[in-house]
Amino acid sequence: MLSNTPLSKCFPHSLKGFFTVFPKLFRIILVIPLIVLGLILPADAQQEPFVVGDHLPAFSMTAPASSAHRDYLGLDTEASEFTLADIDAPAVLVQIFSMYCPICQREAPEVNELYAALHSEGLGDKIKILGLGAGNSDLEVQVFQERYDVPFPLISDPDYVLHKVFGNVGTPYFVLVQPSGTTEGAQVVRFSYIGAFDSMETFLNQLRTAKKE
Amino acid sequence: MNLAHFSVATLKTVLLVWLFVLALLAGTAIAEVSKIEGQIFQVQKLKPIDSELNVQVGDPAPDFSLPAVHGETITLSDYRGHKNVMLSFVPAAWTPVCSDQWPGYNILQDIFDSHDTIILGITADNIPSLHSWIQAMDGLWFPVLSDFWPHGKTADAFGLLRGDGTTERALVFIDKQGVIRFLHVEDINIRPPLEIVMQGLQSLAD
Repeated sequence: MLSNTPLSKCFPHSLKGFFTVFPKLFRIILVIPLIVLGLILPADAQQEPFVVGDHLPAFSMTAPASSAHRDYLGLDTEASEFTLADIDAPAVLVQIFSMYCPICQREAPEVNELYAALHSEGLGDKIKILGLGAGNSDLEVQVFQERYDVPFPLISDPDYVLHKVFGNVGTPYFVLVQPSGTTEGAQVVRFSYIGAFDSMETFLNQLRTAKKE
Repeated sequence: MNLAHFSVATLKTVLLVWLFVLALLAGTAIAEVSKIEGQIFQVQKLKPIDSELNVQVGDPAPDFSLPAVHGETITLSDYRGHKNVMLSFVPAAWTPVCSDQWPGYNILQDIFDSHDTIILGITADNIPSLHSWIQAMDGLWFPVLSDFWPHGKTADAFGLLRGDGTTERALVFIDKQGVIRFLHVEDINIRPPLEIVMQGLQSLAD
């Protein structure tokens, strides 16, 4: 009987008997692909460094030179360094980018549109955007800022110090963070997105949904 | 008998699960963040510089004729009298830092134009590899030359051919008289900051 089914041809006779006697083994085989999947995916796919609910490690950044950008972030004029907690907004969207990344170049106008949309939707003070230029020098960040008329501050990271905090993630990468409320200065991840977003409107809605009051 | 039937049903389930796994893997491949990122060969840290320069600032640049990926053969001395040249040697196609260098120059054409300078990208790879690589970078506005045969001859003339047949990560700025005005050999493992490129362009304007 069994030998007539096509599936039985998949196994040598001795194994067939083995599986018939030990059906439990099948259940194990069922689980194995899932374990294998768990092992393969992190190596194969681009991994997000953070998931919703994660806390960001503490790090500080060089304050932008432009007074308009300092005003936007709510930094005082003397500050040479700042942290995400210093930013005057209930939520911050951090964008990891690079001047050398073709996807970031292509997406730059759309990120500008997102910035404009946040303002037109009355969210300009609720969600502020901050770009971190992975491996980018001051000049490289400046070139990107000018080339694409980026309205929000971009911070250089020539030695990949900030990039390391974000697990050397592929660019572009977006993460929406808010103060955790429980631990002083701690930032909790509300939304994490790797790659260029498909639609600015969808992305904006995702941010709106992810952000807590 | 019952046991046998159970096995067949379970086998089918096993197959279905595997199909599901394959579908997931395929989905992951499609949803890859950056098409090029997954295609890049990951290299270990390499000896920073593995050659000795044969030229210095003030020397006439060794002339060469090399096939460009887009078909034409480019001769350095053809630019004499009307264009400055920045030679950008990179180690090899499909390597991480190189794939992360020329796309940056791709958005700087106006800066190079305003300095009356053309970029010539050079590696010791063959044309088909370079072609595929440039496609993966979404194209470049400047010519890329293949110093594949005789292998690395041009790189070697400058003293930029490494022991393993790849080229150094180097920038050579040549003025309209064909004289080298600025030279920079970067640690192969890192990308020269744009500040270096601007310094080179400035040297042509001085």
